[in-house]
Amino acid sequence: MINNDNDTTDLHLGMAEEVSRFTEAWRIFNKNRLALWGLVIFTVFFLVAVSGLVLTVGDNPVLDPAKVRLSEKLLPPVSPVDTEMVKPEDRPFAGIYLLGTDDLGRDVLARMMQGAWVSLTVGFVAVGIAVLIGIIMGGLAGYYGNVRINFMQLLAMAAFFTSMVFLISGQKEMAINFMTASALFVSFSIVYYFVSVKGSGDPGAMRFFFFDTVSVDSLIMRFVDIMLCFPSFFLILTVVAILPASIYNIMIVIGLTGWMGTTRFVRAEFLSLREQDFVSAARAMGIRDMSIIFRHMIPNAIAPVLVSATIGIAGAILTEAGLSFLGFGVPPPHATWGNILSDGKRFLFDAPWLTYIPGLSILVVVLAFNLFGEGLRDALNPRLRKR
Amino acid sequence: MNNTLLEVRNLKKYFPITKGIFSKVIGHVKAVDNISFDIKEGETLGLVGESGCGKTTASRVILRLIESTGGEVSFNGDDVFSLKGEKLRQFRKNVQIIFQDPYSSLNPRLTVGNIIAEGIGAHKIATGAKKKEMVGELLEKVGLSAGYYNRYPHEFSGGQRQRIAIARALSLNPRLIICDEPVSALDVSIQAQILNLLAKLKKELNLSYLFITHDLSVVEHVSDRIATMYLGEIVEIADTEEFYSNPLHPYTVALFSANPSLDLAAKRKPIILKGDVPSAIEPPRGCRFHTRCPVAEGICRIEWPEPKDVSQGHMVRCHLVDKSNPKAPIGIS
Repeated sequence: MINNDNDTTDLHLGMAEEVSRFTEAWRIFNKNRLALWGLVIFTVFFLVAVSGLVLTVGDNPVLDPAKVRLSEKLLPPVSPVDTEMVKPEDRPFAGIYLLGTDDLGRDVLARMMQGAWVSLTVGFVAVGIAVLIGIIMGGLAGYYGNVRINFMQLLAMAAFFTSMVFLISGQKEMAINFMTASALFVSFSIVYYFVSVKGSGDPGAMRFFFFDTVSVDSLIMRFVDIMLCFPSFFLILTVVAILPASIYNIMIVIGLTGWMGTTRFVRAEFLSLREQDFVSAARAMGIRDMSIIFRHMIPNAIAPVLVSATIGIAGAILTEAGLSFLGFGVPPPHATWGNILSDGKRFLFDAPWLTYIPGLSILVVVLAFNLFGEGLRDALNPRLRKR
Repeated sequence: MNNTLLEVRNLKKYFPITKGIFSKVIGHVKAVDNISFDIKEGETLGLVGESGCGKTTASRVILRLIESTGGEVSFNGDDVFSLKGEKLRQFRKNVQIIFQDPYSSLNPRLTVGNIIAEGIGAHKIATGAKKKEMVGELLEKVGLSAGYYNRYPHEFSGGQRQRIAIARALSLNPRLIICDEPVSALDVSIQAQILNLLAKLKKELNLSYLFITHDLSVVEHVSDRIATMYLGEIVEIADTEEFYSNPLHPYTVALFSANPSLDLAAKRKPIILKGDVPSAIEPPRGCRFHTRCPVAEGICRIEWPEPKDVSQGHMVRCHLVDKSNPKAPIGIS
């Protein structure tokens, strides 16, 4: 053996300076002027949206987006209220129409602020749904991708999804039929499991129904491919046309059609992380799968997801505005940027502010989210870190 | 000392090669083919061989990180491949691994303390303050300060990270540690530190090691016995002294000749092996080494050599080694 002394010398010399990941990420983010502006605009938008919610709800709100004043229609921005024609309780905040009025004399500022909250919630909730589904699907494909699904499980899943489709389209009876079939297949699988895997019994002819088909990975990723084949905006249009118009349905539908990118990201990250030594070490220590996924894999896979989510929010806001513009969005008395824009286009030459204000707001917010997302991507990219 | 801790018998790992959309199996990569060895309690077995010969795969199969294709591994008398549930968790506690690359073996998002404490928590050995105290002791045992608990891996150098990895391996109080090239990624001065640390821990804690490496100068220092692997099979096993004084298999001899020596008096002419390692998909018939062996004869191309016990604990797989007069084949040494 080599001499045993001296083996702990010089250990404390090579210590790197303590820099937290956050500080380091912030340093890179800070260098990116555009991303910083994105963050500023995002913050402002957030504050406007939250105050928009607070100021426009209730019976007698500070800013009433639904108050019709026909005598005051199509006023340009920064017009004072006509105190002779309008009753005191109908006047806008501070007696001035900061962003003008629309064709029914409603205060555009109030409507924009109400719409900001819609955009914000649609963006966050829809992307939240998409990211959640994406992480679950991508995680399954990435971590359990090699597991093969047997025929009976495939049948059960197909029945379940068919039942869901019937449920959404309102055909309750068919939905119940397929759900029963699915439950039947599942119980069949459970019986098979106890007979063949747990017990020592011979499953005999039952085996025929349990031959391995595709792997989890193929199943999920081919489903992703199929979903990506549909032009998602038209898919959303179709679904929204079937469903009753409400803001929650729109959030859910945008979320359900936007999870494919996240799934691909998460799967790719999981595939590479699964082969990392620290994951092997955790498995060798007998750490449970769920613990490995939540402690070791998701925290390391989250950075690209966060980036795509930020950019996804911009996309969701844009989609919602587009739906509202086409008249499929949030039902009318409630203002959104899309339907303000849509209403305004008829007066493009008489009252251009009705078009420009929501249009520019959408542009600026979407751009801000995109720039912020890109800055975040650079900041979280370990390759750009100072060594 | 003489209790057999780990017994590996005819271990096989074939990776299927698939093709087409239905993943039809068209062949196998025979990464590990019929290897057998024992590790006694408190012993270090060195496993040497060139890149791609199956050393790492063998270690992963023994740990059950990948499923074996065939063969048996028993640890302390239990059949490892049939362990389930609580027994498997006990086995996981007893056998740990240290990886080659200390940069990928520590989760960058966890603090050093959390990395080391993870196993302690998962196996409910200790909780709360007691756990933290144990982690501190482990850090000090591997020559780091207990104050590093809240630091992140990226703040440490390679050698320090390898110490953290060792502390993590020790956290479950294992009996066998598989060291998968633990020093290959470190520079030479740090290598010596880590090797000394491993030797010290072995003495203190009565550990056994399976020490995988391709570096003959390293393996000589740490091992009690050494096995040479070539293309998925073990071609020679011997005690370290015997292995260095009387290497028998032509491949072992060639490995030695390729190892640079400081001893100028021993003017060894390096044996240059011709060609590449044959594919593990279709290993050569007969002796697997015959395609590159400088002294191969007719029989080597036809018949697969059976393992020969030439002396106490010295096994060699070569037709040309004479059992009654164990010497390396003429023309090679």
